[in-house]
Amino acid sequence: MHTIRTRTLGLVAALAVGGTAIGAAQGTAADLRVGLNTMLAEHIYLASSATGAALGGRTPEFQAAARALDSNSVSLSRAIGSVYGDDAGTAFLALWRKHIGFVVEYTTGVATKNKAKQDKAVSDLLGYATDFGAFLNSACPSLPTGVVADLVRGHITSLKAVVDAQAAGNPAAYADIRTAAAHSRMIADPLAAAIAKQFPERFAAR
Amino acid sequence: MNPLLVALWAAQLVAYSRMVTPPADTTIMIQGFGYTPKRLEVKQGTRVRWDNRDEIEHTVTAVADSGAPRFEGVMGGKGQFFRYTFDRAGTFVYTCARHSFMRGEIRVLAKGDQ
Repeated sequence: MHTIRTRTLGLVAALAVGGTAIGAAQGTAADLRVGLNTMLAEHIYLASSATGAALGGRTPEFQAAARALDSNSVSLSRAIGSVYGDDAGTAFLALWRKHIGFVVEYTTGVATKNKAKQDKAVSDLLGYATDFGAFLNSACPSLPTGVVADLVRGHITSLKAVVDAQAAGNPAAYADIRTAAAHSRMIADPLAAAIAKQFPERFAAR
Repeated sequence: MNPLLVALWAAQLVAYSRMVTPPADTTIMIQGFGYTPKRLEVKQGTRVRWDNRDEIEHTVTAVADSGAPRFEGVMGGKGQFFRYTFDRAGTFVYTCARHSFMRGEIRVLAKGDQ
């Protein structure tokens, strides 16, 4: 019982890292859903900040945004690790950083007008979606690989729209950022629901 | 039937089955993008089996210091497996060629060290 409580609080604490309070650390299913939504939306805002700064040639701003984005990734991995164990958290972090690397490659390709580089990055990102789906399916079998992969592809497509608009100097980039952040809920909500269902003793529906 | 004769036959049957049944594989599970156990110590001549339980392709790829492949098994998806018999002593570090963060290690003890 103590372990369950500790792990629940660990997850809620991990979800709270990143600067956004998510309410009392009670470990309810609602806390979990709000926490994951907060962190994934934060991922979009920080990634967009990084790509915008990179495309604008604002190096110190890019570096700061990239550092904050990686802190967000680490927090997400800790949250996953607190539920599924340290090895899962480590694997999650490696996978998650991989897709950020591909987004960096795509942004570099856009900045240098290198179509081949852009195409390879998009191909890598789409392939990555299946890997990520398989990872979540392995941890939580009620999440089908293909469904998660489709959701991740949606995430990638929405982020690609942001980068393209930023590169074109199109003010619509801000609306695209909102769209991408809203889409992250499509991943956070089912993930939170599946985890809560998998561990009902930890995430009581209070 | 003579119970002594039955017992003798049974004993012979057990002895024969031990002669023809190969030793069971030592199994490493691939799940959640990781090898379990990550480190394993086996005797020379042991056959190790990797079972892929992830719905994605993983490999078991061991490369020598020279860069030449020592062994490689590709498991296309869930339910696929790869087996390799360690005839030589030594330490074998392997990774997944698709997911370089996945790492495992097998220490094979020489017959004299067992």
